[in-house]
Amino acid sequence: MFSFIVRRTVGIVPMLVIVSILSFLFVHLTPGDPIRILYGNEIDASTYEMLKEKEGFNDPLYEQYVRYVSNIVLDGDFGTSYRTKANVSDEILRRFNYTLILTFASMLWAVVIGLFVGIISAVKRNSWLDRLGMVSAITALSIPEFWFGLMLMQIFAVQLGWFPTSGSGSIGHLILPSLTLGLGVAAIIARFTRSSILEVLREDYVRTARAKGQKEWTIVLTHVLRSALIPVVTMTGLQFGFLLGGAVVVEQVFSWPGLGSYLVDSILTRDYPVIQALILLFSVQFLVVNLIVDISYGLLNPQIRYE
Amino acid sequence: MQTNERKSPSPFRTFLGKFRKQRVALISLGAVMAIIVVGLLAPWLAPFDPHRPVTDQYQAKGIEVNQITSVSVPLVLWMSDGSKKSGGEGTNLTLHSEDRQIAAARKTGDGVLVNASGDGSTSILIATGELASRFKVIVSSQDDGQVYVSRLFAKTPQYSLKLGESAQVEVAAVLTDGNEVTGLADILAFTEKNKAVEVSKPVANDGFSNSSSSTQGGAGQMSGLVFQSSDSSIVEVTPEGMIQAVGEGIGTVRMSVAGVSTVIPIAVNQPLAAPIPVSVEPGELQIELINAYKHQPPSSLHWFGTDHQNRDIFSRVLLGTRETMLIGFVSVAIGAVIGTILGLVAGYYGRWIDGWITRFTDVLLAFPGILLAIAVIALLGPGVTNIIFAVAVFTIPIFIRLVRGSAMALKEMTYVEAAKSIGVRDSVIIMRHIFPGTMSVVMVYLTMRIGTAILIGASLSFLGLGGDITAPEWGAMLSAAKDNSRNLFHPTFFPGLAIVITVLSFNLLGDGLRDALDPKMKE
Repeated sequence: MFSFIVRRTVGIVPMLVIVSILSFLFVHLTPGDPIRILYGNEIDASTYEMLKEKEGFNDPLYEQYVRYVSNIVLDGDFGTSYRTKANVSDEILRRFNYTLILTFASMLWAVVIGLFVGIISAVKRNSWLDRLGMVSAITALSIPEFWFGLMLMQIFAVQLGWFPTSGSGSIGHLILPSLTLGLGVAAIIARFTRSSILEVLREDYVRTARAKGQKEWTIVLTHVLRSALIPVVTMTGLQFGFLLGGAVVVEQVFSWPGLGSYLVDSILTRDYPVIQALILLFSVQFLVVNLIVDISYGLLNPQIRYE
Repeated sequence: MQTNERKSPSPFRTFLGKFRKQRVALISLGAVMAIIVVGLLAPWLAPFDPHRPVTDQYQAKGIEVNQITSVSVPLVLWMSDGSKKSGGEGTNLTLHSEDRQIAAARKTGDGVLVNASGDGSTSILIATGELASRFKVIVSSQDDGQVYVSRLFAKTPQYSLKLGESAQVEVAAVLTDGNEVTGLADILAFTEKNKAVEVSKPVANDGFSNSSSSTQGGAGQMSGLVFQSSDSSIVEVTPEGMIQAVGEGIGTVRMSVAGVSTVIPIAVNQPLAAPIPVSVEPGELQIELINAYKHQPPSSLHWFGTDHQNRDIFSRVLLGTRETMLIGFVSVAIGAVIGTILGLVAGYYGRWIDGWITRFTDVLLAFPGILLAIAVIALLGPGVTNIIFAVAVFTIPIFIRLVRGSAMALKEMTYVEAAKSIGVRDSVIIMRHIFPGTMSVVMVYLTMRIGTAILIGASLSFLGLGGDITAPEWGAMLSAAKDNSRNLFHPTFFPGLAIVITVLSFNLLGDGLRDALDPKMKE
């Protein structure tokens, strides 16, 4: 088991390197001169050269890359924002929790709704309930998150006044954004749970249980669910990446002060160091989540370890 | 073609047969076709120019703005003997709007014509002689929740008293929400409560618009219920509404509260003369109007209403179909072509080429979908072309993976081996023997990906990354509606519905194609 974990962890190192190189090159590929942007346009040529030397832009590219990576790894330093001239890491730290809370709350909705719909659809398969559940699921996958968010806001915040329209600070602020973000994942979980249960229902031991005369509900809940849920757990973990991407849009809709809205604002103001840091962070998060899912899958299913 | 020879049906025929059996997929194919046709014909189908306010276009179409924005309210005059007269006969009717930037009124034959000019709600006071009533006007559903006193009336419309006799006036008020308040104390309590609302309400739009009528408006804010006798030598009245006959003749008592007033005739020691008007009643307590210059709600003229710049949303949604389709088709086409080529190369040649391409795919897939697209936009800058490119980049890895898988399987087929052994060039083998085999997978994913591409494209332009936010593009329309029409339903509802229907059609069509081509591909 230990060697499996080590193998998987080492496996993502090349990915991390590639992602970090890409994000390092980001500021070099984008238009605009970092020195002029940071220190203003009116500095004269000699000061310009001096600052360029001081900031290390004259060094060979690989040295700059090594410095960039070591700054991040050792000091957690992501550089300075063009717009606010403040340290990017501080702002990221401040906003990170918001995105984390939003993501977890959405996952909660997704799991609860998804399992509920999926199990009912599987037990009552080919009934109108099943059809309703699956049609809702594919519809949910076709609904743009931002529109669903705007509609929820319109109904529950503007018309009914049950929740605040936007912002953050209380549980009430969290409900609509997390529901919005969780919808797509709930649909995926519902479809996946249904097919996973139907798969297990074909097993011999289910036939035995049926022969004993057990009720369909009892069979599903006590015999089937345990093994049917393993792939669902894995798949659910993989959806975290989906949520991170969706968070960018949903945060913008509800003015949620997380990393996603920070990213969009930075793109619109061309604040490249921030964009660079966030894209790196999002990809690393995504890689790490996938690694955790991979390892947990290995724990649940020993066959995987020796593939 | 016309041979009667029996042979195994062509794969295309079997596919058609299977596809025809799927009702949902057929319907969605129809929907997709319809959407494409609408997208192509949009400039001719759109009833209005989507870039200009509709009010500028009314004249050319022979539509009067007033037809949309005005409502006529009839007036009724109550006489002291309980009979009613049409209000048009009331002499010197004066009308006063609390806020003319929201609505104004003018006199017509037998009532008043109210015309909306801005969003919000206000009240209009109708005064004729000693009498005054008011009704509330709500424009574009922007109700501020304020309730006004609409009309005052005495429970006993006229009094005949002996000299020295006294009586208590029973007064009642009709409110603009339809309720009735009876008795001095309750009316006073209501006006007190209402005053508090008025004070807390920020004073806006006051100033240049109506200085002449401000005195009347000021009088309207006079606190409490006021009783006034027209001739104190005949009738005296206390502030509590107790009247006492002190001289012979016919007098009147005027009651007023918050600008609304009524008159009670009192005859002392003689019969009443001809009945006099005691109260004026507007036909409606509360009217709802549309502001033709902004945010018109859906109507027969504007099916989806108009937006914050008064542009016809229906026309914009129609025209947006074209832009959205363009993003969906072009980006997926680019992504599919590049992805298929790379996938074929990787699958066919294997070895180090495969290694590199697979690694490249893994890197692209390491970013969650929309983030990859956002990263590309961040690099290239906002704009529609860049959105197309971003969505294409995000489509590439999926096609590489799919095509590589089938190419690897097809490579092992005997016919490929045969072609190789007779020295057919690799490029020819790929194009003629391997590519056709991957077509079915490519087609299915092409359809499914168009739905996703439209979603991602709309999300990007919703985030403001599409460059021109005034363009009639569904995502951009939603973005503008979110910023400018937060309290309204229709500007956000319809463009989003268009996205849902389009994406759903493509997704269902993709599902149907997949089932017809290869049921094994079903997850």
